Amino acid sequence: MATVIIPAVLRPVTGGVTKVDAAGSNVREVIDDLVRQYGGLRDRVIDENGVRPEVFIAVSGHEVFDLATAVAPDAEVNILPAIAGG
Amino acid sequence: MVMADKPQYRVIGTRPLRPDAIDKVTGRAQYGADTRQSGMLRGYVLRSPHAHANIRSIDTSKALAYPGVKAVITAADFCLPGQTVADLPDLTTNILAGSKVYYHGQAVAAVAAISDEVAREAARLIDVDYEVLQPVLDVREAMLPGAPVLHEAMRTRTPEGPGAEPSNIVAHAVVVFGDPEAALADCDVVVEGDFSTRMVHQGYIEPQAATAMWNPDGQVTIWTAHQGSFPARQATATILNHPSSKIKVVLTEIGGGFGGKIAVYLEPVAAMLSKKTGHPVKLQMDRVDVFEGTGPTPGTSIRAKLGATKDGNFKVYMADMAYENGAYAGTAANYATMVATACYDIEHVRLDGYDVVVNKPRTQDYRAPSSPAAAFAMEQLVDQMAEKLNMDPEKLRLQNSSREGTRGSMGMPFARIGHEEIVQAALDSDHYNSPLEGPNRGRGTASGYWFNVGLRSSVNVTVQPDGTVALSVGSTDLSGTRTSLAMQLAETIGVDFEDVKAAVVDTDSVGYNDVTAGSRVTFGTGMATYEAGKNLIAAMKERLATTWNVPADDIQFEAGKFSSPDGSKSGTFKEIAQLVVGRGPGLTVSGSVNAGFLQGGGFAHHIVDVEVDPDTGKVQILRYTAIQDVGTAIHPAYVEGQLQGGAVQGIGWALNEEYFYDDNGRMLNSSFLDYRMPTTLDVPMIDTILVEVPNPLHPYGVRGVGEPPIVPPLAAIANAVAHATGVRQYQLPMSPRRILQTTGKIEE
Amino acid sequence: MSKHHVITRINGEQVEFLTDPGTSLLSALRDQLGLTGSKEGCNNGNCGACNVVLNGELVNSCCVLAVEINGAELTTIEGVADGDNLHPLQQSFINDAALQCGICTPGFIVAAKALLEREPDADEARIRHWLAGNLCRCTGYDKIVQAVLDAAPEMRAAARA
Repeated sequence: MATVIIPAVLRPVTGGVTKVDAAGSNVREVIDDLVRQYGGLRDRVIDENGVRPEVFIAVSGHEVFDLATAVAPDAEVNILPAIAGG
Repeated sequence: MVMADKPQYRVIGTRPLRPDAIDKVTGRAQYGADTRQSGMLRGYVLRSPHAHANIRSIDTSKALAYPGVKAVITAADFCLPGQTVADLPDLTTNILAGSKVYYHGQAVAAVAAISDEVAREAARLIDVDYEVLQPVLDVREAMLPGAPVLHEAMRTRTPEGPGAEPSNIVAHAVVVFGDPEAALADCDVVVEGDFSTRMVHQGYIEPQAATAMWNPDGQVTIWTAHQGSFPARQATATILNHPSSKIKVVLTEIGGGFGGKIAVYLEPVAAMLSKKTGHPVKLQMDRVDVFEGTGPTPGTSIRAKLGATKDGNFKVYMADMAYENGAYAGTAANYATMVATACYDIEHVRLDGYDVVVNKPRTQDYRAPSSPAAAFAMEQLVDQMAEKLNMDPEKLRLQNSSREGTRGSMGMPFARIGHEEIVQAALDSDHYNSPLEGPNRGRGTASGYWFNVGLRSSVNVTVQPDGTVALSVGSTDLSGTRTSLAMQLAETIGVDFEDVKAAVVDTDSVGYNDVTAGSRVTFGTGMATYEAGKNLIAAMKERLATTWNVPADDIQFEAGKFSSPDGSKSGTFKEIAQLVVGRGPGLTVSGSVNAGFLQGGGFAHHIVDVEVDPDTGKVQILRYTAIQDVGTAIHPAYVEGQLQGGAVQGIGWALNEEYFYDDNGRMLNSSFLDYRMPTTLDVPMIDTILVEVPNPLHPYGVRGVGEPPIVPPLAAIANAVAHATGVRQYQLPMSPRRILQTTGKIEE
Repeated sequence: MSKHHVITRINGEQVEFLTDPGTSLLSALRDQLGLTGSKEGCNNGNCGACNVVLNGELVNSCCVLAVEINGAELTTIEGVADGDNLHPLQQSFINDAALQCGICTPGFIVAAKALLEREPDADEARIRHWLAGNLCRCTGYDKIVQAVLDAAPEMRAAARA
């Protein structure tokens, strides 16, 4: 199981839960399992076209763009809000 | 200071003269307000005199009848069929108010006329019927039950779901790592403070200006000084309900931005006025409009505590951080939770971020948004901790420093970063090792962080028949990025800097570019430029394969030279370009990247010496050194300039700058005389130390350098003042009045 | 409102124009005469971006009425270079990377030229005092002050020649 770290902006959907264990061999499967556990996250992290523009996803510290990217069983998946700065 | 493993470059790291400089030193460069179009009308925007009021009605008939007036518009002109102004989204009502005004200076109506003077005169005849409401101006007061509510529909977003009652608290973000409550009880030493900072403005010298032409076929052209042509196009398209592909945004030169020119204010208004009149319409703000009607950066209230072992190991950081969002919902406090603890490896963290609306302008980013105030708290607590433990604060920082693999406040491990290196550089510096003597003097240090972003960029490269290349960029050039990008292209394709001509082009002429912000252009657009350079070399090999009659894959390109497999034929880029383009068809390639969200983080560390006049309370900056991990300095002089400029903006924020309001929420100091930015007299030369820890996420090791240098000054100066006076400073700005109050010379 | 007829010399050339009595010199330069090198940063004399030299005196053109320049001699940023030859201050601003966005640059160059022409030996403290009426938000002033210091020797040499 990978551990998914839920960002503050999405924690209202998880009832404040910060870390969620989710199963899957790639990013899409892991997020799909996350959505199975918290239906409110549907279309908040990924949609049919890929990663939502308002978030980004990192696996073991590396940002991923391709949802087919492999996720190791003990990996940590970070979902983070995408913001820029001045 | 250069790390030993830095590669040798031919162009990168040199200091060529910037190509746009001659236009800028001769007055020829065209900025936002310099736009002239045939038949152009001038516009004027009427603004609210009240901080909080319902708009009962707006009567524009007298203004419309004024000689020379061509059109008068209000938010009603932006409604779709069946919509009322109460239905309009925040994006629209912030450029022309709907059923309510939320801040003094909010735009209410706009006039287009034959001259600026006529437009101003006519605007006075617009009759707005206001029902004045009680404003709320203080971030903590706005959070209290019973405070005047700005938005009846607003419910606080919390980890437990939305709140039940209307509230000014937009969101309550919670970040927890470890078990902070339990760990706090185990700490040997705990220091805490209740810190506050005031709303400040980016202070760009060029007021916003935009000109629009709406053609009868629906094609719209907008000339503007904006930080992002593509985001400006999208926001304008949304507000106008007009296809973005029918809007072309042409960037003029831009007279500073610092995050303050990311939002649109004038562009959709000018476009609507042009649609109504059939003429190009120019709108420009004056300085009062800029202070009162654009987006400054939030005032804050931060209650924080830092716990450590007696050996100086940081164990716990807890902070309750309330950030003003101004009139509309924002995410400033959420940003703060992402940066607050980045400099240190702390196991147990609890951060509560409150985004709060108040009756002030809708806030915007300002260079490393939210980070300076967060560091004002954290870095003073680090200094207090060092005092309690009787340790050198720099050694304490080094001992607890984040490094590769440390989880920052985002919970994600850092790639290779240089915070340790810059604190060590401070310890080794001449400044830190020079004694500071004399009464009323003190030295302070502080660190700062901004995560820096990559995002999406595209460039085009065209090969000219003479073998030089033209680089077309879609990212706003705020401070010299045409130069830093041209240098990266010259490095990639092996030509001289002088053989690359870079220009910023309009939204029809290059692929999508995200906003120029987050210190991303030299990094992200730099990656697109590198990509274009690689694509160009490949395209040249294809052309050369035909000419040389060898397979393209067998052609070598090394050290700026193409050569055939057997070495019998070769030529420099320029020679080959003259051959395959000079005698063949034209050649344009592009480079497009999503450079990712995070760059890997930028860290700054500053040292400052001050002298505090005990009678007047004036804080004089005696000496200042800005140290930063800059990855690879593409053009070191411009990198130094970023560090110096950011430091001086931070000095202004620390010592003098603040928005003053009366009890009715009217801003009292909306001029450069009363809003006191640093002048040449207020600062010494700013020494810089560039530490180069190449960024593994960029082909040339680039890190964004623009934002981190504004983060440390607030806390560094506060620490210096504390050492000079023996009195800790919890509130900004540390103006003469504030210093005299806190040192007991005058009453609060 | 009747217009006033103004005859003046701007950057060595005779110029005639009509203006309303309330029009500022800055507006006349920018909107009527097409000289947009003088910039509007504040329109009340606090930022120096509109600096010009009027009869040998450095002024903020936003605080001078256009009618006041009748019969006067005016130099704007457009008149600082001698044809293709940049003024030493213009060259030193480029060499020293003393500009970022560049909006304040015309004002700084006009102001610094006015200083060095009367005080060619101005030191850093004097330069900082003189330029305190010009705001820059990008550079932190370091490289601007350095550029003025670096241009001074060439201006001294030119003055002696």
